[in-house]
Amino acid sequence: MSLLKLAWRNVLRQKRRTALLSLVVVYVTVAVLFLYGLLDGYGESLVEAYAQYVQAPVVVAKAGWWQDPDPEHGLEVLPTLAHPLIQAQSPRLSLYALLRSPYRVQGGVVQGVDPEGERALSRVPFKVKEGRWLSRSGEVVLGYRLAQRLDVRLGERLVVETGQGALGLEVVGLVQAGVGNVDFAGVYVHLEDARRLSGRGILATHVAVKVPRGQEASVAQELNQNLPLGLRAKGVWDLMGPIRADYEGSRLVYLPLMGLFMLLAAVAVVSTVYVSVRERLREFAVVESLGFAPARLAAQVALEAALASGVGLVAGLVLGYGLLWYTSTHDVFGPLMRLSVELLPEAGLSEHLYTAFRPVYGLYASLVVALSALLALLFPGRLLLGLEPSHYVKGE
Amino acid sequence: MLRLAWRNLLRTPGRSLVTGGVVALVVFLSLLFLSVYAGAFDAFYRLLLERTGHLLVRVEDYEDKTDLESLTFLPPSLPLPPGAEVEGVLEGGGLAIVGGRNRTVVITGMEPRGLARQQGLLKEGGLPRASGEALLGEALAQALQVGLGDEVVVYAPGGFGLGVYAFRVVGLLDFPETHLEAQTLMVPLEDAQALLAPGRVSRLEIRLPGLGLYDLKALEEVKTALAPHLQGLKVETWLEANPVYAALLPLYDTIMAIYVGIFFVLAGLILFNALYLSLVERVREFGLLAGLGLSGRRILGLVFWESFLLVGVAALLGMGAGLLVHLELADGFRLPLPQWMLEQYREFGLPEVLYGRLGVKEVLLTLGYAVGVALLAALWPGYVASRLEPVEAMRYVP
Amino acid sequence: MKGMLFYLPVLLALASAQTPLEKLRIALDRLRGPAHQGVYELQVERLEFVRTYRLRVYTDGKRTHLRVLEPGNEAGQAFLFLGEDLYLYDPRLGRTLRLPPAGRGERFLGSDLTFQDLMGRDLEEFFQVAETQGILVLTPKPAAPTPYGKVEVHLKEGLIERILYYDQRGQAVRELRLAGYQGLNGAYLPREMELRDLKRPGHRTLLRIAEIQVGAVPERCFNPLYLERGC
Repeated sequence: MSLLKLAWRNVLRQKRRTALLSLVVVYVTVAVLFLYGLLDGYGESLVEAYAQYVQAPVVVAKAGWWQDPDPEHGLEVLPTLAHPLIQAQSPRLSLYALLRSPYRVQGGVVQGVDPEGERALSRVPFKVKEGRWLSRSGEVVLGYRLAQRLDVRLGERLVVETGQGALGLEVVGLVQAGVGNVDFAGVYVHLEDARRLSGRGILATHVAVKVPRGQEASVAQELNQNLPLGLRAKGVWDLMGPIRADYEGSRLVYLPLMGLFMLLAAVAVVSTVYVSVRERLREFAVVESLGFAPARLAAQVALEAALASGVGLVAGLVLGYGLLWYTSTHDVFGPLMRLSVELLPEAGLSEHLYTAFRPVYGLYASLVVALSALLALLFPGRLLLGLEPSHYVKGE
Repeated sequence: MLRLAWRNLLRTPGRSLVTGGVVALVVFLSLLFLSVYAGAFDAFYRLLLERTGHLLVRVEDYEDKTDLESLTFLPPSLPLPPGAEVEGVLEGGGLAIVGGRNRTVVITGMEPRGLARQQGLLKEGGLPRASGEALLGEALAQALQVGLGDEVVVYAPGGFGLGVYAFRVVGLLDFPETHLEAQTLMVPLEDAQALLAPGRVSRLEIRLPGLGLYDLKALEEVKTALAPHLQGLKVETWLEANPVYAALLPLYDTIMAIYVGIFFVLAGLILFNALYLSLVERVREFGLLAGLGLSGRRILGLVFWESFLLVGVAALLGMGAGLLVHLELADGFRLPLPQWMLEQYREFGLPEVLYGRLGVKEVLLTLGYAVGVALLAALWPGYVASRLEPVEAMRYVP
Repeated sequence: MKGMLFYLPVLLALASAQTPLEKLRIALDRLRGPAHQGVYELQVERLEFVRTYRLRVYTDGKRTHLRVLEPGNEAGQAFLFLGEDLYLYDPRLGRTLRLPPAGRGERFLGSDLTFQDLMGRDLEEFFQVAETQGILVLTPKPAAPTPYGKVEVHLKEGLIERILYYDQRGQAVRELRLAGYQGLNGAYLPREMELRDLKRPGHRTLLRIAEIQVGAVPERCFNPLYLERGC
């Protein structure tokens, strides 16, 4: 009989015990899957918010503009960006301006965009909840919460003033993107209007570039090798504000915690296996006296531990992925995220958070099986290595 | 019974140690977590309280008003409890101009005490000591390209004041929040009044020394006493003045309970497992006890005692260690995160140095979970043990 | 009187031949008077208080130099309006400052008047003009930086009598009344301006001409360098 079959029979011999220890493994597996899904979902929501709404997957600007984002450091000539992974690119001109409605005045950052270019690049044009996206100069699209604050409605005129000029722009659209920065502070005008408002003869302050998800950093890095002097490309992770620290901080805290959870689950598995081995010492002694090497017996115990925790793992994976599927398709965290957006409207948080759903989490969770087997070798396994068959075979 | 339970636990020292260790670890981690979390939460709110004072007096319906005229008032005299401090603040919008550069700014006029409170944020220079001196957010100074000793002209028409004023930059402020830093200009109150609205303030901040962060009841009392003296004005507690933060407060307990619960469910499952194993190992023994006439209830009691003893000792150890670490945390600590991360967290109002807080509520929550876990984990093994048939049990072969 | 009666039909006939824009242009030309210097009184009324300023004014009808004489604590402040450019001198500041374009729409000395009301020609620059029942109806030109949705200019004998500003929701928000027009060297100048903030009852600003001397104003008065010492 193979080692595996034997181990499997032993595991099944104590169904209730196996079921109980599986509970621990199930719990830990679900916790690991869910937490990874949540952390990655959070990270993805940030990347999506910054790449698709707040900024772009990659942004190219003058080195001076990265230090001081003033049109003074704008681009007089638009750079030619060539990279096989670039899917779209569009110039943008962002400038600080005073927004004046008949009732309120407020400062803000105006984003001058090419309406068509932006459609290929950003999701903002597709999130207009009232009215429409920009089509020509003389128009402005606002985040719906900003419009509320300024008390300006669709079809009304908003005066945008800079130190260099002023324009009255018709509000043609209100955006509801579910991303704090866009809804609370988004002001989108035609690139031509932004150029007029900047009064500096610049064409743009930066170029937004669309690249496939996950390639942002590498494309930025490769672009940097060929960009004209004084220009610098940054990938989406470098464009994120302080919220990135929250994501990375969460990983730093929760990943070791998950490690601890898995270790504790493995300890629980090994305790059970330990009891089971003690109960069967006589049995093991007989088998050993029949010529089985103690190391092989220890391996069998390790296999038993792995199998027992494997049962929990499988059940945990089913449950955990079920939970992840649900939370990745239903906006369970919506209310909490909406409160966070209200609290930190300019952090780039999204009002929705869906967990990530990746097969690799199963691999992470299966570490508990490996850990159980390892600990089983170290503890109950050691009990077998020091076994004296004669002592047990005599029936003492 | 107690002695018997104790002896049973000592019979399998390895398992008892591991299980007890897990419970102790969970209790310890829970206390540590609660102390750190409450410390962070407090720091977040304390910053807010420091900025706003305990009570704020502003004009009625200030939320709907936009112009300086209707947002400012002549400060009335208020009947305040002894020791209370009142500070007038005048806040208004304007344009800071330096050469060809300009930025919209929020001009905040403060009394000397208010300015002194900014000491901790000073990155460079000193506090304004005379009229015409100003503190600038570092980001604003960068945007305007000015440094210490340079002049910034503030243009703020529309009020009753001069509408224009020149300030010399004497200090640069490093605000945790960059968006605040990019628009902050702090000046002596008289200067702000001369510029915007002579003699008037946009809010009165009332600070009540000795009043804790969450002593909201005492605050309400002072607030009620003040209300009749405020014609056309409105008094709010610091939480009422920050409704989003207030909405967060009731969630705190729930979030804490969930977090700690996640740890304890694991501890409970491990304990459950250990108790069941202990039962399995002693089936014959339990059968013997039953045969000797020990009632099912007493056997159940024995299992419960074992569970409580194990959890009790472990929880005490975990709690002792947790409290010791908490005492250390209460003196101030930094989160063990890289410096750049701590700096970024400051953007959200979380200071680098936090002070652990562990209230009775937090300790009781942890103990409650421990007791609950001990009870629940022993329930089924105890029930099984109490229902054992003596003869069958004595014949039991694993 | 007899002469006037003779000319009136001619004037009316001429007026009827003018386009609404021409009417507005002429009315605005007649708003600022001939070149003159004088003392204006500015009274800012609020529910709780009334504040009065005395201002020394130099204008050639297109450019204006204004100096605060009273109250004492604000005396010495001076403003120079040169069409697009607006300069300000404050004695505490000790120097002259050119204000950004945004400043033109700001209120003047805490009153309800803006620099535009006093000296600007935004009505002509930013709006297109039509006429309905003898009232000039102004609607913003595309991209004009004005927050108003409509402005009604009421004329009486070619002179502006009342300007009503509407927000973009059809609600009247400001009312400027001009009265006491005086014919000076062939030009006109209203001796009284009254501005009401219709959103806020009790908010009113009155501008009266207390003294006036018609005649050429030295060119230096319109030089920013002379804001500090006066001209």
